[in-house]
Amino acid sequence: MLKKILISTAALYILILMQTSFFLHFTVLRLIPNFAFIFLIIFNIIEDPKERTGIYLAAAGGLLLDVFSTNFIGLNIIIMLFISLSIKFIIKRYVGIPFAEKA
Amino acid sequence: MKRNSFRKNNKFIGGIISLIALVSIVFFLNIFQTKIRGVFYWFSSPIQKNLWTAGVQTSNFFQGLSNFASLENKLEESERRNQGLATEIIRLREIEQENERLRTALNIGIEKDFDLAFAQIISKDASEDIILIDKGFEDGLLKDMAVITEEKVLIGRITEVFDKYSKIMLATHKNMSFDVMIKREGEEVSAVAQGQGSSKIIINLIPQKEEISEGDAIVTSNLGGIFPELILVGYIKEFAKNDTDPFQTARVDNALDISQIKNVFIIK
Repeated sequence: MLKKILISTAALYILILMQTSFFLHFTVLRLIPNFAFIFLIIFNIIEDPKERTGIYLAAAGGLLLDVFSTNFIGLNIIIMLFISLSIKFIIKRYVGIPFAEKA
Repeated sequence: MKRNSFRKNNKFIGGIISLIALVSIVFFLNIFQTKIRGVFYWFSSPIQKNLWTAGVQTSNFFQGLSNFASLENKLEESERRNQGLATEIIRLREIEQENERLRTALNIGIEKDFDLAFAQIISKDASEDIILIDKGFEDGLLKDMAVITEEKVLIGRITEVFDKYSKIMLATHKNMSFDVMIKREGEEVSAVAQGQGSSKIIINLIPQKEEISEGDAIVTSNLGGIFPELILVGYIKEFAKNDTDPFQTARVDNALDISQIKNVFIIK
């Protein structure tokens, strides 16, 4: 699990660097999607709801987003953790994704 | 039954402990946030500088391709504008000569316009109009210093200074408000610029009696003491004049495209 967290965090870090320094040169209608946010949501949706990698990744991703933004450190950590836990709760309770359960 | 209630209690206590731990971590991180951010910027900035440069070059390339079709129209428009500017230059040269004569007469030395420091953009906040540059406190930068481009176009002002990095709030940021002058032929109109976020600015408090038109240049004024005067902000794109309102408002065609620039100058 640690290996998975480290690799995913590294991917997230690169994605955030790309987002803050590269992708913003290619905005559509002056808007730029938050790729780190999308990555975290997809990761939590496809992961087995019993696993916790997505939660740790949400905390790490939130911290990275906070560092590269102007808000106080913690805002994105709380938002990401809340989203991650909510996704896991909803999927566990109400949705069954076969490929996620096998993973 | 007892075991079930014990499990529920354990879960509840675990949840509370996790929450307290999270709040403590957030609190601890915020005490040292300047140091933490500094460390992250230190090892990320070389990659980000290269990514920014690559982004500017790639976007310039694609923009060049898309602009190719409208090049002829733009050329015609530029030629028209050029003719107008040539007349303006002649008028300004006369004023400059007169100014020089007066300075000599009054024994005032002509100094450089500004004392500038050079810096490179590292990144931009994804959600706000705030950029990070590679110069900080160690380079003599301080909070509230004005930042401009090579062409004397306004970028914004420094809001946070780290040892080696600084954050700049762009003139288009929602919290940015500053005095400006609308330059017309032979006259100046005082007004207030207000950032709207997402690279947009509007001009407020333009007196109703003043005549303004599309294309009028907007420059900074030193009335509020935030920026030095005569730094270009943009041009009037469209304006709204309503007889019932005491003031006119205008939308600005921003002279700055932050995604197209690499370097900035800080006025010390």
